[in-house]
Amino acid sequence: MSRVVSELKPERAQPCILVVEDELLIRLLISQELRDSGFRVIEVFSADEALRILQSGVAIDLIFTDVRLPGTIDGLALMAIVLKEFQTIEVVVTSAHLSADAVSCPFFTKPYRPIEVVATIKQLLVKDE
Amino acid sequence: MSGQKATPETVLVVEDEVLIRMEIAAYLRECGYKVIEVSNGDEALSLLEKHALRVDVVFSNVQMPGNTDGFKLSQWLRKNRPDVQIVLTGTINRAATEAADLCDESPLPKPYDHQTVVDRIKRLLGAAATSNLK
Repeated sequence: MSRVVSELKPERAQPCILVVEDELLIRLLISQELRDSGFRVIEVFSADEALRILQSGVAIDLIFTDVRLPGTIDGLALMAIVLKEFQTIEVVVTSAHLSADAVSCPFFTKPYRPIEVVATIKQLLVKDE
Repeated sequence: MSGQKATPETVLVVEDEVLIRMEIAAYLRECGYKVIEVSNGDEALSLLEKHALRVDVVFSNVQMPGNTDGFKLSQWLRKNRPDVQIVLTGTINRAATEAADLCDESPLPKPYDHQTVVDRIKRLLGAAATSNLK
């Protein structure tokens, strides 16, 4: 594994958030808000890419995922895989097309306020410590 | 990067292989650049055409899925955004010759060293700044 990944792994002081969002401007906005709040952020465009990251062994603390995504699986399928196979990773879901009772994780209806997402993520990660 | 500027230069990273993109994007951020990531040339073109985001350097893979490869993206940039510096990377042989007319330097062969990418970006931005002063 290359240098950056191997360096990132032991760096647990900064929790790592995997942002899964195909809309570029939305992804830029929430990723910047998370970085400004002290998180490390990995940006991906699809659930397929998210799985590639998870399977590579990069340490992820929380996944913030949209539901409707390009590729072979959507955000709900990603959520199910993570809850089953990566149980230490928190999941937060966002969608413009679902309601909160459709998912078993913290949920944000789009459009969301990034500051509220960040606050929820902070609470989830503090709870885990 | 320049220490005198209030805002960091922005690098648009165009790479379809997520693990490669993740690593170079993280490294560039560690070096102080603002980084925008896209997964293919079509998305890069859409971003540059539709959104008024500042982009100083495009670091792009040559071969990518979709209708826009690194060469096509570079041709568009040369015509429409000549102020943007271009660094191509790839594994194919034709890259070197085809890129000669599009970029100031030949493509970085994959796998590349991250610091080599940063050195190339610094050199191009430095040369552009010097050129603008003349």
